[in-house]
Amino acid sequence: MVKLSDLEVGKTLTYTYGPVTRNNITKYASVSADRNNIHIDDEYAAKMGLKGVIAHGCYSLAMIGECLVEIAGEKGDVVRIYGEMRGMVRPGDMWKITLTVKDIHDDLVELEFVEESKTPIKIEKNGQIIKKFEAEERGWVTEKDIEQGLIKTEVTEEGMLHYRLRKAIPGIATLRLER
Amino acid sequence: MQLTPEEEKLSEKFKIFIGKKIKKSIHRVKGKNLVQFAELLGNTNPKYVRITETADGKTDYSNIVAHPCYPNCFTVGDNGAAFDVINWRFPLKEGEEQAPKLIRNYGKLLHTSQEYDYSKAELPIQHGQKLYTTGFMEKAYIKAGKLWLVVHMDTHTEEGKLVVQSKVTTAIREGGY
Repeated sequence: MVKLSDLEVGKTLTYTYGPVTRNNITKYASVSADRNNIHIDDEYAAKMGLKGVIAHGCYSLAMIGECLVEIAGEKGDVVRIYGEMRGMVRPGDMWKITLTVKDIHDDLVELEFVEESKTPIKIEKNGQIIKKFEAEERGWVTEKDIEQGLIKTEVTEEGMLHYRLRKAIPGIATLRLER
Repeated sequence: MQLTPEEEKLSEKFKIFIGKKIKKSIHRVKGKNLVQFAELLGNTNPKYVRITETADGKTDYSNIVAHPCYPNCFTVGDNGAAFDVINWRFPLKEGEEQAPKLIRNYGKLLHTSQEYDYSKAELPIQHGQKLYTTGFMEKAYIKAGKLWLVVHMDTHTEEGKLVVQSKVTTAIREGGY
């Protein structure tokens, strides 16, 4: 929970959730009654040109909602949430949510947020690929991703992780926070 | 949102759907579903998941409210109010046995934006409520080769109290419209 007094305009908060799993996407399909096969059936999703199942845009948005709820705590409220589903989120991805305070008046806080999907691609050690993730196997990373500089690396215990960090949902939200 | 002259022309035939009302939908809020929804997101906030027992041992959901993104369950998806648009057709023309559908291939549909607005809400969403969602097509146009549809929805309780306003935008890729 974040208190109103902890925030000021320009302050940035970052949260990470995930990883996304097929099991959870299927559960979301069931709980939200959004059973479009592009979220459930890999073969069908491939036929629709999607290279496998994708998470519901609303699932990724709901994770931002969850992040807002975590900030608001038991006594605060989410007044408004608006998000644009720009990038597909797939099994294996992590959600990274960055929120920036844009305005505070009375107990209302206006936030701008961006949710990014962190997609693991491969792990290299001593110049050898020691692990390939689904993104590498199924060609989820595009030339455009590379051109746009979305491929990053980070040192992990196993070796050098190559991953894609791509904008999934930018948007705005209003919270009512406890003073 | 700026359309090219070509896009303006392509959008023309979809203008008849702007302002068209979606079928009123009913959703019965069940406490069990409220908890399931919040827990799937990893929520442990008592406000959304704290269930207690009544004196006679029954589950009591009266202390919880819906997660702010719960309206997903009755605004989009198979049972969602906006889903009515899937069944919409162009007016029947002479010589046609059946008018073509607005959305010909549901698999080509992508959900592109969503809004839940509680700023005018009079009540929180809670277990046992019977919710009525009404709405209309706010925008319908062609942009970048896709058909964009924006549906506005208002959800009220049986007593007419507003609980949430939602807006959904979808983009239907070529071959789907």
